[in-house]
Amino acid sequence: MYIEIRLYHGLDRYLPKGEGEYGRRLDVPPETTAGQVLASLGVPVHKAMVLFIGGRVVGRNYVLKSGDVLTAMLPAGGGV
Amino acid sequence: MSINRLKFKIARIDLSKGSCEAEIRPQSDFDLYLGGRGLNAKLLFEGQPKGVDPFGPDNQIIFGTGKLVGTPVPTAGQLTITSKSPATDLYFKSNTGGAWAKGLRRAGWDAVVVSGKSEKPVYLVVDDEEISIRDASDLWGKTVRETAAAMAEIFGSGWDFATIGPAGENLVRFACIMTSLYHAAGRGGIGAVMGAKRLKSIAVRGSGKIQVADHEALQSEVLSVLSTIDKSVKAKLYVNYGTAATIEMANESYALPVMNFRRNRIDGGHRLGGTYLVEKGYMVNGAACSACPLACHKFHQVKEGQYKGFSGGPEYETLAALGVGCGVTNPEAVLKGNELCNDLGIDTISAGGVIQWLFESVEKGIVPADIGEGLSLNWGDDETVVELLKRIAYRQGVGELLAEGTKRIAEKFGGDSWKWAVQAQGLEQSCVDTRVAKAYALAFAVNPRGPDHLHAQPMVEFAAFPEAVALFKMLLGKEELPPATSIEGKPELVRWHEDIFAVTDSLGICSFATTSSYIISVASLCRFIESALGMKLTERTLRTIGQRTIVLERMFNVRENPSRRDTLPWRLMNDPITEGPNKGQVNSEAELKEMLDRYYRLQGYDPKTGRPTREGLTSLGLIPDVKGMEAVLEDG
Repeated sequence: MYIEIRLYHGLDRYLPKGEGEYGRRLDVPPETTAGQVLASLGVPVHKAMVLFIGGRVVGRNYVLKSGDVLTAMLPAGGGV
Repeated sequence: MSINRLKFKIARIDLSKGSCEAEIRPQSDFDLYLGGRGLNAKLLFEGQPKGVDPFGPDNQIIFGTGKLVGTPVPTAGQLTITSKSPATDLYFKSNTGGAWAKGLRRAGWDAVVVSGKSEKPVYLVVDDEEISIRDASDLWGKTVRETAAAMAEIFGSGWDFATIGPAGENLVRFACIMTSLYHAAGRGGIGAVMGAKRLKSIAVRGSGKIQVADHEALQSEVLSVLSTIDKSVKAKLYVNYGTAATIEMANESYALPVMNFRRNRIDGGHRLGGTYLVEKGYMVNGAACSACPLACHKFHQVKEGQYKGFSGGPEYETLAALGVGCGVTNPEAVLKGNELCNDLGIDTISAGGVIQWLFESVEKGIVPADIGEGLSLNWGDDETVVELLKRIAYRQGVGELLAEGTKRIAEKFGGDSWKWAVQAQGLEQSCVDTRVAKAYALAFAVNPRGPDHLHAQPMVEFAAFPEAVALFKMLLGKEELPPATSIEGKPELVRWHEDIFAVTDSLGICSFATTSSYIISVASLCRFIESALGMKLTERTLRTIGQRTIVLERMFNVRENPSRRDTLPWRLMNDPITEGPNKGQVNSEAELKEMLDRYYRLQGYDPKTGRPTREGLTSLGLIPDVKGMEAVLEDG
């Protein structure tokens, strides 16, 4: 099944080569978790990393569905 | 020249008389308020009656530093500027970084209080203990950059300047004061207060040394804080990306205020985020305020094209207000807009807010499209946004109306346009969608300056990093943390954050250190105060001092406008979010009331009116310390 992965805040260096700015379309087996996708790309486990699916925070053991957009970044916040 | 560690030396300048007098304040001012924002609030309250015209001579403008400024305490370089705002007609404090505050302290002064009004343009020179008023006729009309160049010709190096641009001179109600080419004391129009006084700039140079009580203990605490930065995810994000990193976070979590808070995510929004700005080479350098290891402020450069040039900033708020808020995702245009605001002296958040109102009002037919005199007033039109900033600063064409701010322009055009004037008390809301962040919603509602984030930054409610989680657990005694969209526990969070924020401002430290990234704990603050100033204060005492300032600020507004209510812009309270996981969320009247009820109980305010009581004021020492405080109660 196909999902999209988007990585920010330095994690983007783990994106595989391809088109798109911070997103890549990946073909993953059914029942793959968010954590497994990140591990497959070599993204190190980071306690503070935030994962989103459709804007909702999920954990690493979230089971992906076809068409999901998985976003991973560090917890930025606070402005001036 | 000796600089007293605990007593404040203030300069009182009367521009009507052309006079300058020095005043030494009693130590009780330090004991009760710490200085900076707290002392400013007291001086403002005591120094002018109710009802002064913000543009009139009786409105003071107070530049106050904190006693930690000039010491090695990390981030200790902040200045608070306090006055009555021409946008809100209420109490206003504004912060800025840079090096001006340190220059003032090293000159031997803790605050400069300016009243009166000059007949002709002037600037002040603070050269150590000597203060003079000089003719600024040749500077009037210059941009901030032009003024800096002219001042450099006159003074050479080693000076810092607090300057207004054309926006301040033209009394734009959201004009700001620039303490460098890119450090702004924004919001609320304090730049216009300076402009109304025909005060163009304050030049400062100080040669004194700031002595500390215990150098070794101070150094040890400084090193301890610096070592936490490496372990702090949040702090490192500031170091690497600045506040622009918040853009991706907000966009991907459907929390970004897009197109006047009508939407929460925009395709291409990531192009205004820190990752993109670094990756594409726009971000070229970081710039630290005095004593700051975070250097969150970033320089950007557009190397070619119509928006070619440097930009000092922009910050998250600017990227949101002039960018996605206007439907713009072209980073080069936002960089240009940011730099224009720096140079013209305009607050970016309010500028973006009133432009967004204009776009929506044209879309809805309330405002005729030809008001732009050739400009297309459509969402996403970045050239229009950039051009409108110039017209605002010089009050040209539609800029004359926009310069009055969202509240006033909506009143002028009428219809339902007030509903999408995303402002309260006359201040445009900061770019935080409070419908998804209920602690922020409460903080915005009770903020004495209006719906804005620089009163309490309760980042902890997102609980997204270890320091935030630990603080949340400590404050609420819970292991399971309520989500940001829940109101549970939020009054307790806001209470802590506003006290600590007030103390932070009063000491002259940056709020990013004590709130937002939490790299300086309250215990650490106490150790800094003891080692730098020789004063042993407990955490409880610090909280009380913070609360005292909060209550004093509130009483200024009670005196100024007894009918003022804690509220939020209509849109946030009535238009639910339409997309994403937070669809349906709104800052309802009922939710806000429930939070306010709890907040008033925690503060000891009258539950019906939300006002401080005589008992509360006495218990905090504001009665009898503050002259005129009892009279406010007697006036009812």
